[in-house]
Amino acid sequence: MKRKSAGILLCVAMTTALAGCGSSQAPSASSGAAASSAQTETSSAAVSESAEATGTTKTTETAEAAGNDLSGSLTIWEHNTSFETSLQGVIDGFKKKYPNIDVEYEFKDGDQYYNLLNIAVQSGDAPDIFWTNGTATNNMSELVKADALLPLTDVVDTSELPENCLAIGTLDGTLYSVPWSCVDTRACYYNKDIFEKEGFAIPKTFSEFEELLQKEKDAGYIPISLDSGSSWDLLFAYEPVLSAYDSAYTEGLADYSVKATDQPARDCMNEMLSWRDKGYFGDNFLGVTDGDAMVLTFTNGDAAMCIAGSWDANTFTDNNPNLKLGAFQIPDKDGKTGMVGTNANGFSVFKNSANLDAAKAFIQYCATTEAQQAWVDGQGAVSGNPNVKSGSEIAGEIANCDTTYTSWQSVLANHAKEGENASTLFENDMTKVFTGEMTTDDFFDEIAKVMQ
Amino acid sequence: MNKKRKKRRNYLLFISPGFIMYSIFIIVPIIYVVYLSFFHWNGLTEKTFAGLSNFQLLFTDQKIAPDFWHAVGNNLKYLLCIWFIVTPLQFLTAYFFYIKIPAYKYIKFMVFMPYVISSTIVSFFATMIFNPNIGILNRILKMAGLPQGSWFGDIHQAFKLFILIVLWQSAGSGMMIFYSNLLDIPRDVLEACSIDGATEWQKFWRILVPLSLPSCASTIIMSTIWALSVFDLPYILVGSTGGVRGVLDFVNLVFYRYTFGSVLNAQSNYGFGAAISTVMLFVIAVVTAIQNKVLSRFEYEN
Amino acid sequence: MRTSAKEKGSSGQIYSRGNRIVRWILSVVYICYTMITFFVLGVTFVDSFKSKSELAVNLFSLPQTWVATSYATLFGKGNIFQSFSNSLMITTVGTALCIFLASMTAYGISRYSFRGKGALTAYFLVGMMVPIQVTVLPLFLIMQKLHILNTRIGMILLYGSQISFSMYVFAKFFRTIPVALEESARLDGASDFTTFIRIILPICKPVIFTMCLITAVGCWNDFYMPMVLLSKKAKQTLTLMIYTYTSQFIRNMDVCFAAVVVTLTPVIILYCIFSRQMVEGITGGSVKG
Repeated sequence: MKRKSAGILLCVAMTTALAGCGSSQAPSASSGAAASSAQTETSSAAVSESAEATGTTKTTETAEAAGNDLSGSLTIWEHNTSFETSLQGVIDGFKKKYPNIDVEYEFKDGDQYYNLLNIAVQSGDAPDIFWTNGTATNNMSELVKADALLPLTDVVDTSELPENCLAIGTLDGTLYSVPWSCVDTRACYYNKDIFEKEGFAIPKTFSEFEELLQKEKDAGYIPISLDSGSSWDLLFAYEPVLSAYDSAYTEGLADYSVKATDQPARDCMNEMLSWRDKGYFGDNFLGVTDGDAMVLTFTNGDAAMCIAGSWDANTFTDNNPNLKLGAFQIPDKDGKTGMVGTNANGFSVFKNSANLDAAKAFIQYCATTEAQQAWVDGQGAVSGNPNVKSGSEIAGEIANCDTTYTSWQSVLANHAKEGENASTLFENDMTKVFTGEMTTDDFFDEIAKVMQ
Repeated sequence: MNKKRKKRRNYLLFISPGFIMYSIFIIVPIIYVVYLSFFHWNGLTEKTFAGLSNFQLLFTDQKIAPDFWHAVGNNLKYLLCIWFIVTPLQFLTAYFFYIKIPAYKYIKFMVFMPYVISSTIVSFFATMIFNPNIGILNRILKMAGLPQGSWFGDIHQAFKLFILIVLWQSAGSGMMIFYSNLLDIPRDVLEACSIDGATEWQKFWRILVPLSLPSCASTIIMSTIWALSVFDLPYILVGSTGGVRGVLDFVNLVFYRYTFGSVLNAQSNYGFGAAISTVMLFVIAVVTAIQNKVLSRFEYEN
Repeated sequence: MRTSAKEKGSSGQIYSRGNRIVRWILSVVYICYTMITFFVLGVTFVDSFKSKSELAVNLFSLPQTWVATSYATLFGKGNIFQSFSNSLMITTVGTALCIFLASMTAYGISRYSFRGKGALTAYFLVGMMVPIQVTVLPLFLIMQKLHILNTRIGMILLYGSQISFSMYVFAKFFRTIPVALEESARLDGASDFTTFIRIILPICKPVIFTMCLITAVGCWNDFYMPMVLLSKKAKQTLTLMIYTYTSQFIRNMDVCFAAVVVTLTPVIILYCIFSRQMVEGITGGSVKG
């Protein structure tokens, strides 16, 4: 009986995952609904199954009832206040199922997050549920080494999540966190009003894109709004440009068949520096020192385009609701488009939590389509899950492309020599390349030294 | 004699409550940080004793050492600006309030005001004024047909602008202390002076400056310490990178970069960060001690 | 008549014509300078009544339509009054504690002679030399051990123990007070502590109020320590609550301006009260001889 339902689960999971792989666009409403109703069925089956495993109840109804009885209080830590809407949405849904569990969340905002988390873990008084960036950084593996995370492989039924989403929460074959179905990608945003007024069209090839930049410059706009003060902002522009500048090379990054410091990566950086010299980032680019300035230059209509993260779409429209925002992926020389993306990670469970049952119930809820949808909606994010609709219209435009690429930065993080961190080098020095303090070659040579 | 002994005992009554609280919440954490500077620690696993290797890295690493010394240099440059530009201006302004220039109450109110505005808003207005694309300054220059600048992106201007913003934003508190010190100068001395026919200029140099110097010494020492441990303002103005070519890079920004990095890619290296802080603590302590010696010469005892 | 026609200086002396002109020139210079602050505050106030889409394109001019939606959003979110009372309590009690401890310690150091006095003074200065970002982790641990993490009392104790700055200002100030004052009180049989409370503290009203103001502004505006040490929803301070907006300034520009107006108002009121007290302190200071 148990084996059979597990088999069904696997089938459903595989079909949905396959469906997800087939098209990168969000599924049509009807098929999405059908899929999610099927998911609900399997989910209740899963609940009964896990109930069976713990030997408490036998039928679905009583399993649900057991959930209602579960009580306790949970503390959740998140690293950024911008997730509040999403988190609140998920908690609201959870509270409907488990009214007796109190859920509180705290934002340990900014750069102290991991330090505080580590300290709290070490002192044994950590939050029950907390966020980490999964395999994207080495914090999760440090926590695993310290035996602080509950292995979730046998605890959580992940059948509603596509296989490829899980990778970021999986370490050495064991799941330690339940990821969110958001794809953190980058896009080239444009001001539709400016494009309409000046008769600009979305470029079909990379050379058309470069022509467009010159046309925008001639028309008196700043072609691309960018800031020189943050390596991350520069990266989020560099990666999509790289993927368009040499798509074959960028594809190679996925299996590390090319090095992150090969010639195309250098040429692309030099290309962007020549854009800087032509004034494509504005004549006084070096004076634009923060992300806020970058956003404002775009939203108030001084700049025609802005290359930034998919999460910035909300920032633009929140800043200026009247802005007619469009987005496209920069095409390569043959017109192929793709998005550079990383999956977003979600919550882990503290192994020594005093409310382990409640924490398990919560993390299980996170793995449901319902919770995933609530999270994606709260972010207005690009969905990486066929059953979850993208959170906004613009997210659909961002995801409208032919393929996905591996992020250049994630290669730095994952393929550095043991004990080295190439990503820190990029973080420290990328601004120096754009401000002319360091040459492109010095920058890449320095990174190459610590790469495998 | 009896009184003397009583006095001796009583100082404990006054000092101990503050001493205990201050030790628990301020000193113990600092001792802990100094202790950490001799360890490798990611905050999670066991600390491993590192001896002096954190310091060695700081002073000899090809990449870190130049960054660090450059930042120390900036701190000293900033300190000189505080001593010779900011502090005199603060004192002069306090003096003008003291002699009640017209509308001084309004001016006093407004000069202090920026001190209470949160740094987020200060940084936003800095953007709105100095940003080369959207800032009002370049717009005005453009309308007037003058060449525009990139302000904080220009290595020749960034530091000057920074000092201007420091003056505007954080000079208020020191000025208030100078002012309340001036108010406490016994009036009969000044009156005697006026009767003798001293000019304003003479009164300023012969009476006000020397008489308020002992209490002003505290403010000067404080601003020295603040100058050496400056963090907030450069951070909000140019971010943790310290701006173009590190023109606004200070030691605490270096500490911040190497200890926390960004949340997206933090590799906790608390021991090394602690080493930077320890070195800076040492530098500040030495500078303050020397300064204290020099300033205490001017003090008069009752 | 004569005094109203001519300016009166602080020492009651009458200024000459040349001096008066210089004073007016100075005043005009300073008034021009304060226009910067006036402009910044004015823009903040006016902008808090603009709609989002207007703000993005039109920051420095008067709004075409005055709307209060930003205030509605701000007050509609969470329990702003709870946060306000948390802030108020932490700021007032914390400041009072800090000033009390600082003045007592300063008195002990400046009025008594004992061995190790210099070292102790230096000891109290060390607290200023390290920014809070450096020590926040051990602080977190200590407060956890003392079970005052996420409590208002913990924040009060923390602010109360940041006495370095005020202690130092007080100590220097106490040295300028003649000892004769206390001697006469002691002759009347008052204890040292009574002398301190009854004689010394009233004399230094201007300094006390200045230090109160500076400390209180610091506590009120601080979001960093509450964020790390007091992040439970029910306990959070107003500044921390508003930080959730200001940390994403660019997304909530309208609400941010409203939030600044709301947080600044109490500070401005406080300042007005205190600056008046400071003037009163001077007249009360005539005891001093």
